[in-house]
Amino acid sequence: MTGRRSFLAALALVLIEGIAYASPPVQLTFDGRVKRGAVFVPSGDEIVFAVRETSPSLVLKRLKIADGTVTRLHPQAGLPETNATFAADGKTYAYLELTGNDAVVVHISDVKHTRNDVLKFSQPIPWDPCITPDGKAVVVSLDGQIVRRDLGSNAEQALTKSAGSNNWPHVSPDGRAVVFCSSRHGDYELYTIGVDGGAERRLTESPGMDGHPSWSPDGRKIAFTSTRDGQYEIYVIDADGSNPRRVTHHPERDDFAAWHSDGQKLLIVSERDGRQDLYLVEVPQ
Amino acid sequence: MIEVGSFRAQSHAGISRRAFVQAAFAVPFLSTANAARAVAAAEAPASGAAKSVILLWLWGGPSHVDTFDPKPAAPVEIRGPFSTIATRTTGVRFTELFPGLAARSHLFSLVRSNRNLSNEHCLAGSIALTGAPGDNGDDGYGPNMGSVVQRLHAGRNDLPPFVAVTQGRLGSALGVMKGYGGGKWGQAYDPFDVTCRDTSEVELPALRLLDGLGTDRLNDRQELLGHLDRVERLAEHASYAGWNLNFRRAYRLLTSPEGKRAFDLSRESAQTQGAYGRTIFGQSCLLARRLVEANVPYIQVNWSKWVESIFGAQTDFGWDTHRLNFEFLADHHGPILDRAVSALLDDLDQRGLLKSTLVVALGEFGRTPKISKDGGRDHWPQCYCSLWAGAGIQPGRVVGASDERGYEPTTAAINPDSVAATILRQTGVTTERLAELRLLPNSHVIEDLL
Repeated sequence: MTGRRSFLAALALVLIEGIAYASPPVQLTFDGRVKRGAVFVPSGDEIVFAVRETSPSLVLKRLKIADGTVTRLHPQAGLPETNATFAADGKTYAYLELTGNDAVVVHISDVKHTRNDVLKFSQPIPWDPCITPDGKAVVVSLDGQIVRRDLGSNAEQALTKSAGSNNWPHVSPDGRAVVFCSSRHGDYELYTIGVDGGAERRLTESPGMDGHPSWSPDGRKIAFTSTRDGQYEIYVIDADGSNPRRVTHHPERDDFAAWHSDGQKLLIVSERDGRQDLYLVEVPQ
Repeated sequence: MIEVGSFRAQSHAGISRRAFVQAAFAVPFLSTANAARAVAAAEAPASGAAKSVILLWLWGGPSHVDTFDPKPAAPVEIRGPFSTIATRTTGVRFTELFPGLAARSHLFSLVRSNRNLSNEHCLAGSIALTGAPGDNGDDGYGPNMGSVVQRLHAGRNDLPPFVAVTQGRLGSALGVMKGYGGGKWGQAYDPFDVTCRDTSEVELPALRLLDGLGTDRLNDRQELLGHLDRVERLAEHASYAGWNLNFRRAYRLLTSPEGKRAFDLSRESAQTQGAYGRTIFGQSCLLARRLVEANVPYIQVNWSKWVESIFGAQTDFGWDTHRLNFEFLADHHGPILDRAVSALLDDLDQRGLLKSTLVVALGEFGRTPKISKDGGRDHWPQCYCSLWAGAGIQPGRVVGASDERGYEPTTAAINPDSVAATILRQTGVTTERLAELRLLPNSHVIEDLL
């Protein structure tokens, strides 16, 4: 426990005080359970993530950077929840609730819990939601296509209509584009498309799957998972697809990258000795 | 209220086993005529290459195309989004989700021409686990393969011969699977259910009637005896007969040091626990290996209780991926399965147990080669695959083949009766013995595996 506290104290200094930090990766959680979809809240002082538990089977939790405490985001929730995503102002967030047999709804809530809109989509399982920076729309994958839903009119617009599977959308910080993965030309590769549709651009062409893209806060880089070197590792490319850099080098799985607001570090789910925990890793420049 | 009735063994994180274990250890085994009647007496023992069987039951039906029978040359609407990787077996490729198993293909063989007789989960599951349809639609099933082994093997006295490592009795949104246990032979041949958590904790649901007894009362021998007498009187009611048997089995193993040890995952090193992955399925596979070491002849490890991948509060991520097939396989199912089965094969091999342990992994059917309009894959019993290792199985083989798009076998289809006959043959149950038991008539052993 002492080691954990000192880790967290160092982490708090790194994240709150902005002290320069160098590798190795900093471990943030210690329970070893299956995790997914970790994100920093925009203020940078908390992390929200989903963890596999017994009942419900997926629980959203928040990790306070300052003291390392982990608590449930929705202590009363009786249904599995996952994939929290925050608007740029940090006041609004979305998450998925698994409500029934192949049935999922998107909740749009404010962080003070004074508002909670429940969105049902035209198809029963919206997945991997991402709120646009202005908080006016949410982009999801829906039955293998990327779909944008306006939160005012509730109109759905299919951004992609391609062959193959289109998954894991993430909206750029300027709100103009969406990066996503598609298998239209073979295995999963990264593409971008305008947030209102329009021309698509292929960013990667590699052996193996490229998935779970995440746009950096300045919009200049994209982090993602790839199996191009044999198993799940984290990579970063420039937003035009150039300059690929490998971030992680570990024989076990590294996945679900999300950026810290400083654009220098990534929050990832790493498997170490069979235990899945959150780690903070530095992005090579 | 603490769960006194549960046997809990925790990982190195430090939760200790319950005081109940120590208390129960001091109490003599109960005996009544009712119980004696219920306990199945082992018949003439069978012997074969497999001293133990581990059946990895991938409930919900994994896609054969997205796992071990990929179709990279097929159109995009069939091949799916995953690339393929080479294995150690010349000419055999898996999808990229299984690098661990690809590197260990010299330890196992594949069947790529499995076929089932139903496209409904519980029917197909019942047929797959018993080898045959029921006598009357979804009813009148014969015994699970494990129930046959239980009946014919003279197992240890203190460990149940047929253990299911499970989150509960298998089912779907449409109901429970009826062909799960002893079937027409009765509840006496049902599996002994054990629940394993990702935290390496093991629980015996059969002991839940003891819940409510505080630790202090359990430490009082007279108090415990009185409670057990009350439980037994309750159990003498006919409807409790099957449960009573399982309670007795649980009680018996808890009074056995070796029995307790077999279920205690905290005795494994952190390295070994981690090798399997800190997941329910991973730790369940590790428990199966411990039960093999304890000479349990048949262990069925269930991936999930429910077929559904998303099922509201009951969600436990089955393989029934009508939607989100590719997301779940990439994010969850694929990595967990690859790690756990790879570790199990390595562990059995390194301990010299693989040659006497038959490992079979399969679901009740495959999934449609063509991706559905919902972005997933639906049920496909016409053609799917299974993984076989150990105990007389010749490794590195591929038995049977599917067509270029994975719709139909291009070789003779291998039906569930052949799967069951092969598993039972390896445990020493001969065709003649099956005939005596009136099981699996006209079935054929998959000789190409042997």
